[in-house]
Parts: sequence; structure tokens; C-alpha cells
Amino acid sequence: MRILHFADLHLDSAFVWSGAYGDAGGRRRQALRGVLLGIAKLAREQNVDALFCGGDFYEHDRVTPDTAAFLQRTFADLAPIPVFIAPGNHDYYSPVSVYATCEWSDNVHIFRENRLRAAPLADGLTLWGAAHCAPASTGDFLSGFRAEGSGTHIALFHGAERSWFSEQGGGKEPHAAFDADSIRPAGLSHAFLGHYHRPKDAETHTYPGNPDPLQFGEDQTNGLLRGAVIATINSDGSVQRERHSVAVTQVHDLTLDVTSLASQQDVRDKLTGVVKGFTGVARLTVSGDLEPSLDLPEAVLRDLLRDFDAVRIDTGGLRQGYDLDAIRQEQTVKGEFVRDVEAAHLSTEEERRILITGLRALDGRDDLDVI
Amino acid sequence: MYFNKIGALAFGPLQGATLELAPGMNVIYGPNEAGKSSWHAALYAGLCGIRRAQGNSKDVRDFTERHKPWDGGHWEVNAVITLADGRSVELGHNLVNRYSSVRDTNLAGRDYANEIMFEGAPDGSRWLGLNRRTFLSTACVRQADILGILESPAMLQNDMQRAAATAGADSTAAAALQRLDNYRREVVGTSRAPTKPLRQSADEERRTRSALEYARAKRAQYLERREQIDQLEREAQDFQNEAAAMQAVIVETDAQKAQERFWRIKELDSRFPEGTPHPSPERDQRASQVEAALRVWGSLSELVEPSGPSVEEITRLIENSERQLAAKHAAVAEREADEAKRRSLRTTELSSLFPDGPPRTSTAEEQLAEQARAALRSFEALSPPPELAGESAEAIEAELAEFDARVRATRSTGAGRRLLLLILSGIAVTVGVAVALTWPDLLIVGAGIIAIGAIGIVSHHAARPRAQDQLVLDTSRRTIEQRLNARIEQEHRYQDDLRQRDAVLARLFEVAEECGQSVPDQQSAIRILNDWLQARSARLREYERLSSLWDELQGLLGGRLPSDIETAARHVEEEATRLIASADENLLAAARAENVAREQLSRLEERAGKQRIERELQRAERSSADKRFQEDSDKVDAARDGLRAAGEAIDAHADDYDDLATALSDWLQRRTQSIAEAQELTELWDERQQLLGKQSLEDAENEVERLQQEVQLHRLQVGVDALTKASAQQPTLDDLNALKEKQSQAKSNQDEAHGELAEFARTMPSVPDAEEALANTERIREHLANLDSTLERTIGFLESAQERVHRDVAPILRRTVLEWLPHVTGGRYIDCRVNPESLAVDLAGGDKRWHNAALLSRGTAEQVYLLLRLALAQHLTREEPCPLILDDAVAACDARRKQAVLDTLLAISESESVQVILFTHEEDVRGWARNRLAHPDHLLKELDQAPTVT
Repeated sequence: MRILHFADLHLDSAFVWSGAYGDAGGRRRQALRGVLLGIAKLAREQNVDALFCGGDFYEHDRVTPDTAAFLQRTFADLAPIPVFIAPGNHDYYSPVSVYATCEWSDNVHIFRENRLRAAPLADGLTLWGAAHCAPASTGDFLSGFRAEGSGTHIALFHGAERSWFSEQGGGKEPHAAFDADSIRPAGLSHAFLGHYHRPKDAETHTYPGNPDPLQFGEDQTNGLLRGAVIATINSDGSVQRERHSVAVTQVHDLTLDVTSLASQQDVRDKLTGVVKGFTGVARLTVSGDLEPSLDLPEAVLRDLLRDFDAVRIDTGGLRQGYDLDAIRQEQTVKGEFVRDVEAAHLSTEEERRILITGLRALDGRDDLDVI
Repeated sequence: MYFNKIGALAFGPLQGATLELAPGMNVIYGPNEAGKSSWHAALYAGLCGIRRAQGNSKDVRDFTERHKPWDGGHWEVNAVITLADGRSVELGHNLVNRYSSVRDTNLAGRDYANEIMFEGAPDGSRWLGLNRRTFLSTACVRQADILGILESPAMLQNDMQRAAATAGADSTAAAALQRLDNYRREVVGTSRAPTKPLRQSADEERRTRSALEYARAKRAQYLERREQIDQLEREAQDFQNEAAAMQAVIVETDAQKAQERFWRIKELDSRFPEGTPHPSPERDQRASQVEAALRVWGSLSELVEPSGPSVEEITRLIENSERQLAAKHAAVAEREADEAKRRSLRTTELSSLFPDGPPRTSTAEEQLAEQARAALRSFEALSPPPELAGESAEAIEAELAEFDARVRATRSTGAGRRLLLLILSGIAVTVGVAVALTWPDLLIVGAGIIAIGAIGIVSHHAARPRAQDQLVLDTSRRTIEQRLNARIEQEHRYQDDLRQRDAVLARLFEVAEECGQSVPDQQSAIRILNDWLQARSARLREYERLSSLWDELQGLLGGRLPSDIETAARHVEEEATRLIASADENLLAAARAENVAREQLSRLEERAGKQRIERELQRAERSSADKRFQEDSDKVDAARDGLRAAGEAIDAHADDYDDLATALSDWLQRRTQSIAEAQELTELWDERQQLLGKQSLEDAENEVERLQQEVQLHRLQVGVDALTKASAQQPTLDDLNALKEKQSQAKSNQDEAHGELAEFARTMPSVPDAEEALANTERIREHLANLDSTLERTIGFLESAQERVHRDVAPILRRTVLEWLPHVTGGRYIDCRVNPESLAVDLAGGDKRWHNAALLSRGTAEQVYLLLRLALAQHLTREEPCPLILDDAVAACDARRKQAVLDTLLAISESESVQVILFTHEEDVRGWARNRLAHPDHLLKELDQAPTVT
């Protein structure tokens, strides 16, 4: 039995994190649809026996009727490959959810209860699935559960494995939290999961990871690709997995060191080399010593990055380029100003901005919007 | 710090040249193009070097362009300086590759480069607390600076501020603050300025936030509508399920009927193993004849002959009764004719008595009679009035007047005497008191007189009128008044009686005279009235008799005329004559003897009428009975003929008609049973054919099987519960059609709602789009807010720094100026003040009047400016004295002022240990130097025309 498992596609999510707005956000959402089409294509190419979705397929608060129609068509086109969906906390099942209101083709099976229910996959192989029926407060699906019947049992649901929660970073809530150790005692050979965006291939469970980037800084974890997992389920319940990248969106973390750059032309030349060949979404981290004479407003950088769909600029690593040691010793207003600012114990970023702004003003400059 | 020498290895036009300098005042003289500017720049470059960083700033580019040797190759300068602590340091700068060295010339070449780094390269001015950006503006005084002060007095203050702010290198703090403020106002603005970015970004953020709320609200509406559609879908599905269940029930019913039909067909088919039955026998004429004969025979009633009086007998009885009644009518009419004739005669008689109509009486006479009787009754009721006795009213009134007069006289006399007594008593008391007081020896006499007076006063009090006396007087007077009132009333009553009697007598005479006679006296009047009343009584009696006859006449007439009475009597007589003539004589005689009254005759007529009706009914019934009897007899005969004929038709014979009828009936019964049996078979065959229709038996069986399969299918689709529920309703096809109509309507509603929802969804804004737009506007607003905060805080820091620096600089400037001011102004100005806010400098002489230093005479202003620059340089360079470099600084001064400035500079140099380096092309300055500068502390260096100095 070969299945394709994916989760956490988050169709119709907002790309605020990327700084996208206007048409750019729309293009990124369209790209997410492209990811699903890629998954469907992969399922056909790999001739899988079933397609699993481990929840957070879309975002309930944002999903559009058009997206619902798109899903319906995509899965209908996938027939006769059966599609099993276990709704998560972002796409929880409710009477007004897409899952309940869309007319799905016969090959689509949606788990609609917040307890594990059986669905036959093949002779001797049973799939147990459950749904989040609310955006929060969903409990452990495995608590008190015991798979019934003969043969091999596997599970599909959206939940947070407790031992790995601490490594997920901020912003993750422990929805439907469970212990990996409770999978086998529940009579399950393997659990195909969703929720954690970082991929994981454990002995008893699999997190495929988000198939398309949803944040800057997402990278491979333990050398695992994020995206789709082709799993072969053996009759004894063991699983062999292959990972495939299906991402459409390119997310880049770029760095620009402005040290020794004395003019906007210098910046342009250097940045052109940095971004060459990249598209999609970018986060530019500007670092180094900013030459006092260099006028570098954020608008200039954005103009140089205009070919990206969305850009975020981080100047946290930028340092001002004034020789403060010398200025600090001046018995002038300028020296006094520097001493006062430094003595005010401001945040590094704020101190940098105020120092540059004040020194530029004293230098008679008008480029006072400091990057 | 001071320069020992400058080495221009390759610098501008200078190649391998060295300029030695003294620690005091140095005058570097040279004509134009002698290389003064190059040495000036070499001095700066030798001390400060140039910055070592990627890319060149405009300053560096300008410097390079002006001072790099034209051959473009080597460019190098060095300087040897001595610091205040005695260290001698050589600074070497390769300006091409920007390599610098800073070594102590005395301590085995100790490298000080790291100690004085600035912008990537060693900078000797750092020992002064300056840097290569501020050194020139602090240490160097150019000719243009002094000219600027002279041409624009405000420049002095501006220079001071700039020096205080940036050591003269850049802007003043005030200008920086103004720039920050302008930038903040224009690029950020306030939240109250609608055209400025901060407000606009806030507005835009609000707009996008509203757009997001709108998008979310629309989405909520969409979900709500979606839910309503689900409800419609459920309703439609319910209808569909119900219809399916109903359809299943109906199919099941059809299947049941088909099964029963099939079974019936099979049952009927078993009755006809040989196929179509024989035709049933036809009814023939004999059966009809027998049946008709038996029907007629059976319908006969019993033949009964009528009894009682015959029709003729009854007719005779009616005619006798009518003749007797006619005789009685004639007798009564005869008697009534006699009566009518008598009344006619009496009427004529009485009518003759009243030719003028009915008897009448006089109303006036009646009224007069009533008046006469009233006058007589009043007169008879009169009695003579009693005579008045006792005192008259006048006498009693006189008695009352006399009583009042007596009382008044008594009261007047008593009051006068008491008043006199009171006065005399008062006088006595007064006199007694006066005597006792005037003459103490006559106290007893006085007391006696007072006692007499007191007695008089007491007597006056005792003599006043008493209440009981007044009560007696009042009672006596009221008694007299009561007597007077009673007498007056008695006299009034007597007068009324007299007036009434006179009126009665006057009325008696008046009525008597109306009776038509003169009345001489009271008795005559009474007699006249009595006689008139008797005559009146006689006339009334006659009137009553005539009235009785009149009433009789009116009774006879009864509202008719006498001629009518007569005519009526004649008609009655004629009628009586007619009746008598037609009556039977014997019966008439008997009727006359009976003397029957009209009322009796009426009752007889009524009774005879009823009797006649009864007899006529009796006669009619008898006549009908006779007719029916005859008809029944005819029917019996005909029925017997029919039985006989029918019997002959079927060859049945009997002597008795009843037996014949029985024989016929038996024959008919046998015949009918045979026909019925054949008919039943035919009907069963017809039923079979009808049930089959155009089907064969096999077709019917197949249909049953098909319907049963359909039932099973429906049962599977519908479910047992729904089927049970639907079965309980026993639905019909009409019910099913009605339900399907509801289902169709629900589906239509659902489709319509789907269409509306699709249209709604088409215009529904995207929530993530709105979220991203809001995030973007928030980012812009946050950026502006941060910028605003940064600018605001920068302004705060800068204002604070400016205030403190100015406050520190101001006393230093004042102290320096004060130290030199009397000397450089020849004692004209002795005091100085510096505004700590604006660094404005004012001077005052002995008169203590303050003057703006920039507005003083050119010479004074120049001197003061130099002093201020010196003071600022000393302040800005702290412990290390800063060399003062003047570039043609005195070129604009006249000879006298020039000398004064040079003297001052020399004095400063000597007293403050400040190295002064003055570049000049002026001969008089060279002359001054030759005269005033002595080696080794001071130096005059004269440059050649050619810029090569060794």
C-alpha cells in the first residue's frame, strides 16, 4: 500500500509575514494552489493508492468559495484515488466549513468527528482518522483509544507530539497534544500527522512539514525535505518513506553588508549581485557599518528589490559608521549630544537611529529618515 | 602642541620641501603663487592625514584634486610636532596608498597610530581633542572669516554657535534643530495635520482596518447564507426522502393490487378449463307472457262490493234539507219586512218634531246661573264683624314715648353729678399732696385733704349706673312694645273683614242686574236671583225630554236619512215577498209557527251547510267506490284471461285460476334459474377478460414479479422507518404529486439561494487581501511613528546638549575676552558678557553701556573675533594648546588695525604658549615681523617666488 501524505498547506492564508500586499499576496495564494496541483500530479505519477491530508489544508477564516470549488475539482480529477482528510485546528470541521458544504466526489473521505473513526483502506489495513471540530481545545485523540479489529491499523490526524513541541519555536500551540509513546499501545502501527511545520520521520509517526514556505527561515530539519511524503505501508505496519519537495514559492534570506559602501551606486552594485537569479519572497538583512556620508533610505533598497513579490527588510544588524570615539571627546554640542544619547541606555537600534539622525542634522544633511 | 616642521615630500607643487617652524609666532611670507596655500594644506595633511575608507567623500575628492601632484605619482607629507608633555612625534602620510605612520622621535620610534585613529587613519589633531574634520575650522582663521564678520555682524554669533556645535566643521546646533524640526513637520507631520504623512498613514490604516472588518463581516454573512442554504437543502432532501418513501408505499400498494389481480385471474381461469363459456339462453316470448300474466295476477287486490245508502238516497236527503231552510228564510224575511215598515213610520213621526235640528241650551245662561248661585252662597256665608275693644294703638304709642323721656331725664342728671364729684375729689387729692410736700408741718392737714379726695373718688365709683337697673328698664319697655304690636295687628284684621263684606254685596247686586231687572235693595236682589234660578230649572227639564226623543230618532236613523230608511223598508218587503213566493207553503206555515229569529236562522243555515257538505262527500265516496268496484271486476277478468292464454302457451291447464297461476310460476322459476346460471358464467368470463386486458396470463405474472422487485428496491433506498411512517399515512398518487410539487419548490428555492450566494461570493472581498493591506499600512504608520519618535528624541537630546555646551562655553569666552579686551581696545572696553543661549557677545566701557561686539568698529570687532576664536580653540582643545593658523587673516585691515591685531597675536602667543602661524603676502606684515619677531621663539619665513623650499 503506497500513500501520499501531506499537511499544513494553509490555502488562502495571509502573507503578512512576508510583507506582501496587493497583487503580491494574491500571487502567493495562487502559488499555494499550485502546490496542491503538484501534490495531485505527484500522486498520479507515483501511482499511490491513497492521498492523506493531515489537516490545516486551508484557513477557515479566510477560505473563499472559489478555493472550495478548486478543491472539489482537484480531488474529483484525482478519482479513483481515494482522498482522506483529517481537518485540523485551522480548517476545523463545522456545519459551515468547506468540508461540510462542498459536494465532494465519491473518492473523498473526510473525517468529521473529534474521535478516531475507522475507514477501510485495503484488506487487512484500516485507517483511523479524526477531525478538529473547533479552532482550539481539541484533546488527545489517542487518549483512551484502542484500535479494534484484526489486521494493521494506522492513523491520520492533526496533533502536536509533546516531546517535540519545544523545538517548534514561537507561535505554535499544542493542539490535540499526544505522546508518541501512546501510538503503539493504541494498537496503531503508524500515525500520519499534521500541525508541526518542521518535518519529522519518526519510527511511529510522520510529520511531512508544510509543503510551501509559510515563514522566513524555514529550512530542512535533520536533512528532511518539507512537503509530500510517499509512504509504503507494509502488512506488518512498518513504513518506508520518500520525501518530495512540491514547493512553488521561493523564500530567500538575503544579507547585504554595507560596510565601506560609500554611495548608493555601491549599494546598488553589491545588492544586484546578492539578489541575482532570485524571485519570490525575500528577507533582506542589512548589516555592517553604515558610512556616515551614505544616504540609504529604505525606499532605495525596496526599489532595488522590486522584482520580488514581497520583501521584508531587517536592519537589526546595521551599525552606524561614525567615529564615535572621536566625536565623543569633542567639547562641542555634537560631542555632548553623542555622550547624552549613549548615556540614555536606549535600545541599540534606537540609539543608532538617534545618533545618525542627530549627527546628520549637525552635518547639515537632510536625509534624516535613517534606515 | 606646536609644529616643529612640515615635510612636503610630494605635495602639490612642493617636492622634497621642508618648512621649519618656531613654537611661538610664525609669519610665513610669500607673494602670490609662492606656495602658501600648499604649505597650509601640507600643514593640515601632515597633522591629520586623510581618511582611509572605501570610496571617497567629496571633501577627500576635492582635497586630492587640489593637492595631489600633477604627475599623479608619489604624494606624501610628514610633520614633526611637539606635544605639551614634551613628546616629539613625527607623522608621515603616504596619501596615495593612505598609509600613515606616527612615531615618537625620542622613544625609539614608538608608534602612536592606534592612539589617534579617526575614520580609519591616524589623525594628529586627536591629541587636541579635534579630528581632521574639525581641526581646520577650529585652528584656522581665514581672511574670509574676518571679512565675513565685518560684512555681516550676525556671522560672529553664528561662528560662535557653529564652533560650539561642531567645532566649526558643520552646521550650528540651532540650524540642525531647525532642520530636524522642518523634516519632522514635512516628512512626518502631526496626527492633526490632514495633509501630512503621519495623519494620512493613520487615516489609511483606519481605512484598511475598516476594510478588513468589512471583509470579515461579509465573510460571516456568507457563512450565514451558506447555513441557510444548508437548511434549504435539508428541507429539499426531507421532501425528497418523504416522496421516495411515499413512492415506495404506492409501488408496494400497486404490487399488492397486481398480485391480487393475478390471483383473481388465475382463480377465474380455473373455472373455464375449456376456454370461452357457451352463450347463455335467450329470453323468449312465452317467458315474458307467463311473467306478465303472473305479475298481473299477483297484483290483483281483493274484490269487495260497496255498502250503505246509494247515491240517489243521499241526493234526496240533501234536497229536503234545502227546502226546509228556504221556508224558514221566507218566514224570517216576512217578519223583518214588517219591522222595517214600522221603523220607517216612527222615523217620519220623530223627524217632524225637530225641523230645526236637535234641542239646544244657552252657555251664557248656564254661566249666569253659576254666578247667581255663587253670589247667593257668598251672601249666605257672610257674618257681621265683631267691634274692637281696649286701648287704641295711638294711646299705646304715646305711653311708650313718655316712658323713654323719663328714662333719658334720669340718666342725664346722675352723670353730671358724678362728674362734678370726680373733679372735686381730684382737686382735693392734688391740694392735699401739695400741702404735705410744701409744708411738712401741715402734713396731717394734707393727709386729711387727700383722704377727702379719695372718698370722693370712691363715691364716684359707687354712684355709677348698675346693670340690674338697666335690665328692669329694658323689660318694661319691651312689654309696652308688645302691646303696641298686638293692637296694630288686631286693627288690620278688622279692616280686612269690612272690605270683604262690601265686595260680596256688590257682587250680589251686579249678578241680579245681569238677570235683567233693576235692583232696589238687598232683599230684592236675593228674590230676583232665586226666581231666575227656578225658571231656569223648568227650561232644563223640557230640554231633557226633547233630547230623549232626538236620541230615539238618531237611533232609528243610524246615520242615514229618513228617506233611506223608507227605501230600505221597501226593499226588505220585496225580498220577503220573493222568498215567500218560492217557499213550500206547508213548510212556510210550519216555519211561521216556529217563529224562528234571524239569529236562529243563521245557526240553522250553518248547520245545514255542514250537513250538506258531509252528504255530498258521502255521495262522492259512494260514487267512487261504485266505480272502483267495476274496474277491479274488469281487471280480474283480464287477469284470468291472461292466465288462461299463458297456460295455453306453455301447455298448462287447471280448473282453478290459483292452481293455474302456481303452475305458471313453477315453470317460470325453472326457466329463470337456467338463464341465471348461464349469465354468471358469462360475467366471470368477462371479469377475467377485463382483468387481463391486453395482457396474457404470463404478462400479468411478470408484472407482479417486476413490481415486487421494484418494491424491494424502494425498500432498500428508503429504509424501514421512513417506509413505516409513510405507510401509516396511506398516501395516494395525489399526495405524492403534491409532495413532489413541494420538493420541486424547495429545490427551486435552493437553486435560487445558490445563485444569490454565488453572486454574493463574487463580490465578497478577500479577507487575506484586507489583512495584508492592513499590515502594510500598519508598517508604514509604524515606520512614521518610529521616525517621529526618533526625530523627537533627537531634537530633545540636541536641545539639551546645545543648552549645556552654550552654558559651559559662555563663561570661557567671557573670561578670555575680558583678559585681553582692555589691552586690545586701549582701555575703551573693559567688560564683556556672553549670552549662554545664543552666544551673543556684548561689550561695555567705563560707562557700563552694553554694545553688540559685532557692531563695534571694524578694528575692535576683528580683535574681539580673534580673541573669541582663541578662546574657543582653547576650550575645544582642552589640555593641549591648539596652534592658531591664520591665512591672510589681516589682509583686509588697515595699517593701524593690522598692527594692533599682529601685536595681539604676538602677545597671545607669548602669554598663552600658543603657536601662531600666519600666512601672508603683505609687505607691511613682513615688516612688522622683521621688527617684532625674534628667533628662536618666533620666526619670519619668507617664501621664494618658486614653490620650492629646502
